[in-house]
Amino acid sequence: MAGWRSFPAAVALASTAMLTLAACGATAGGTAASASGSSAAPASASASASAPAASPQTLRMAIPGDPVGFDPYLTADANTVALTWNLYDQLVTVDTKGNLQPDLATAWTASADGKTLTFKLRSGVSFADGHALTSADVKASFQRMLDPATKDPDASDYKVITSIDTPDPSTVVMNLSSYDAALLSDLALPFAAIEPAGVDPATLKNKPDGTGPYMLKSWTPGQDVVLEANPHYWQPGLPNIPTVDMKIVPDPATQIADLLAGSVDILPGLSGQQASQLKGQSGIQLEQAPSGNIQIMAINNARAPFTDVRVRQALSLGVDRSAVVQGAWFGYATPVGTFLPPNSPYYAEQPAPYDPAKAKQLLAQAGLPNGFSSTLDLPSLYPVHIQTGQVIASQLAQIGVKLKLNQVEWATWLSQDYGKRQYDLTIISHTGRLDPDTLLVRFTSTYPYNYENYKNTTYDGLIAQGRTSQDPAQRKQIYAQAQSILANDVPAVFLDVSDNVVAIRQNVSGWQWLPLAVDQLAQVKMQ
Amino acid sequence: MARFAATRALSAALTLLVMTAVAFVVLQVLPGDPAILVLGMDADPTAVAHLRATLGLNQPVPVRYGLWLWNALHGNLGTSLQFGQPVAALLLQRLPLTLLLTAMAAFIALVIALPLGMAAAVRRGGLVDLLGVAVAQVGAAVPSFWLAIILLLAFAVRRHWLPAGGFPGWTQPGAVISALLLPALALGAARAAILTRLLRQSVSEALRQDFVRTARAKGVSPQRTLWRHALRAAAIAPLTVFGLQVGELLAGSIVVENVFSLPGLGRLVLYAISMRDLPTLEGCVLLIATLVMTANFAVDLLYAVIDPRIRSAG
Repeated sequence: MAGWRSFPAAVALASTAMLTLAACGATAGGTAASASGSSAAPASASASASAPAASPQTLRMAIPGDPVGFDPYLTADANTVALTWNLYDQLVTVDTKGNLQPDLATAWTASADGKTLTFKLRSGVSFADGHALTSADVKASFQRMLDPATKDPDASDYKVITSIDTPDPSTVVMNLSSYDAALLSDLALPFAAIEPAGVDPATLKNKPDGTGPYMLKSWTPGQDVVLEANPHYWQPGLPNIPTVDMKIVPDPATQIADLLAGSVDILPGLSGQQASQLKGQSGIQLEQAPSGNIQIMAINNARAPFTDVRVRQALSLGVDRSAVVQGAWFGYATPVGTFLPPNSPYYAEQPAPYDPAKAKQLLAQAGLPNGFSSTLDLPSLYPVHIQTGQVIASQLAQIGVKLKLNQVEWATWLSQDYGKRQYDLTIISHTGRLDPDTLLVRFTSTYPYNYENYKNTTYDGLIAQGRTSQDPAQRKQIYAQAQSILANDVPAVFLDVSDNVVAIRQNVSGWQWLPLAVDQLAQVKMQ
Repeated sequence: MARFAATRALSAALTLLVMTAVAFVVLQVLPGDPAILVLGMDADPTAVAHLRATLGLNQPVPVRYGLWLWNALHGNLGTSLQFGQPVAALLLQRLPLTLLLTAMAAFIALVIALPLGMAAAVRRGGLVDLLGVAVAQVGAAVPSFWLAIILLLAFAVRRHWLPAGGFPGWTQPGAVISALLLPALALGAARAAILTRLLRQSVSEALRQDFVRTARAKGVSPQRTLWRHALRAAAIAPLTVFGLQVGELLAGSIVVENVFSLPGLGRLVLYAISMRDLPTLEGCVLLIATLVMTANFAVDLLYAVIDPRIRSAG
């Protein structure tokens, strides 16, 4: 009898655990791909390798959601550009260390004043539809991107480009309104993809046409996105795998089940929790690299008591970052005390000690010896932020800061917290791009999404100076100074930089993480 | 009969109107801007403003609802804000899967509930009855998303008997059935539990009625008494519940389709809500409400088939 009574409680407990587990994976930003023919799951790789019919023609991957479309000029969605990266090329690209490398341009030079950039285009490049790339395509691409009618959400990163000249079919000259230190690395981002001239923009959303290693074969919303090798691709021998079938699998627990069952070969963008579940499973290999994703607890600097810098400093001192890394990321992250990732050449390490005694002291000095109460908004789309919030709330309670945890749906968070700046504290991640400016500019007082309401004219001046400096050594110095201001002023509590993790079945190899949030598939191999 | 049909059609139209209005208002009350959801966190604010204007989001709410309704009455359900495809096409793409899933779940519920409920009713207090009660209790207590994950772990991860999720496309009918088997089981189990309990109750009540005793006294076999007489008399209540369960099955498909990554209507509803995709949500609401009303109408017709008294009254 007692057994029966306690059964519903056990079920409730188990289902809560499952819910948490299911929730956790949603954070995984990336996509997964899978390869290899039939829907019958091969129980082992050796079995499928020996069977003649199972020649690895298809990489099967799981992605968490539908793309927003395939036109890189119409989206800032990370999952979408992770995918379009394989359909398009840019003028330049990056290697795994973040160094700029030639892509469609084989060489580039800047004028002495930095206001003119000249690119030499690679010869023998064709779009997926077969027509050859010329400077006219590059010019038309940037014209379309910068045309306000296109409504490119990322166009502001390229607004210094005033005009483009095409002296001959293989030369592109960009005229800039002013020197912009971030521009060249911005040109390596998926948002600066080169599209064909004269294409009807309306068709690009569903029928992409790029020079990348893959082209779109089909997209069935909610079901899958199938890519096939671009026969005109300019890099000989690539891509290695002729077809990539990206299954749309939103549920993190199902993503793992798919991989373990062998119906998916590769699962990029794992959350720490997913990674810890897959670690040590036979036949599954994990590959990780630091991402550019910085988790912060944003503070509304315009609201009391956070207007007092001592209160903000107390929050930073009251958080044990290593506990957050373990509790929310299952170890797949690195603590930081600044707003740049440690793999950035401009990273200047800032101390981020856990010192509750000093935190209490600062609160007392600020007139809050008994602490205070506040609300911590947690975007429910991202379970990792919820877990981080729970860890932080218990830590800050020890210095007298009582946090009410408030889960907020994503659309609401974007509108209220991020757009209207109506919040006390919230937890979110920001993804850096290649140039330090893309992250650090967020705390300048005129930045449209400075939702922390942080204002510091010295900081504003430094960021403006860094953007126009042509001397890398000087920039390094400027950004080190800017980072020490942030560490001191604590406009937000900088928490950690997560790892990019991919899980691969043993028949797949060659995965490389780039320091961009993209899934690069051309080099991936299957046995 | 004509009057019955006219009343029925009018109330159906009113229900649809109210449903779409409620969906519209709810989506307005929720904070959130479809434009920034389309463009992302780092979108240039001027681009967001442009998109808002293009999507017609700057117009007052009643105007937007009126426009949507006017177009819908003319057979135009609009274009999805997120997918950029016609809503009608999206719905048609996803409807067959949800219909098949719901039908399979209903079938599974019947296949479990009918024999178990009947057997339990005949042998009250026996071993089968105990099993029936246990199934009913556990089945009703276990949430379908939890059962879905357990089934997935057991049959897809441990034993690679069935796919862990995803949809193979309609070209492979065999693969479609095996892809939908676990989700249909997860969805059907709770309905089976409720139906089992209901059947047990109503059949055992019917078995105590006078006409059953009369039938037995006249020498009708126990089997025939049970299936021809008792079940028929006891069927009305379970049938009513079964009709209501079609609505529940459609609601349950939202969760189960998500766990099993099935591109059906349920997933589309969830997506439309979270992305504030109003035209898509309205299309889903219209379609699902129509399906539920059709199912209930079919149940009304079935009453008449089962119970001659209703037939003559109608």
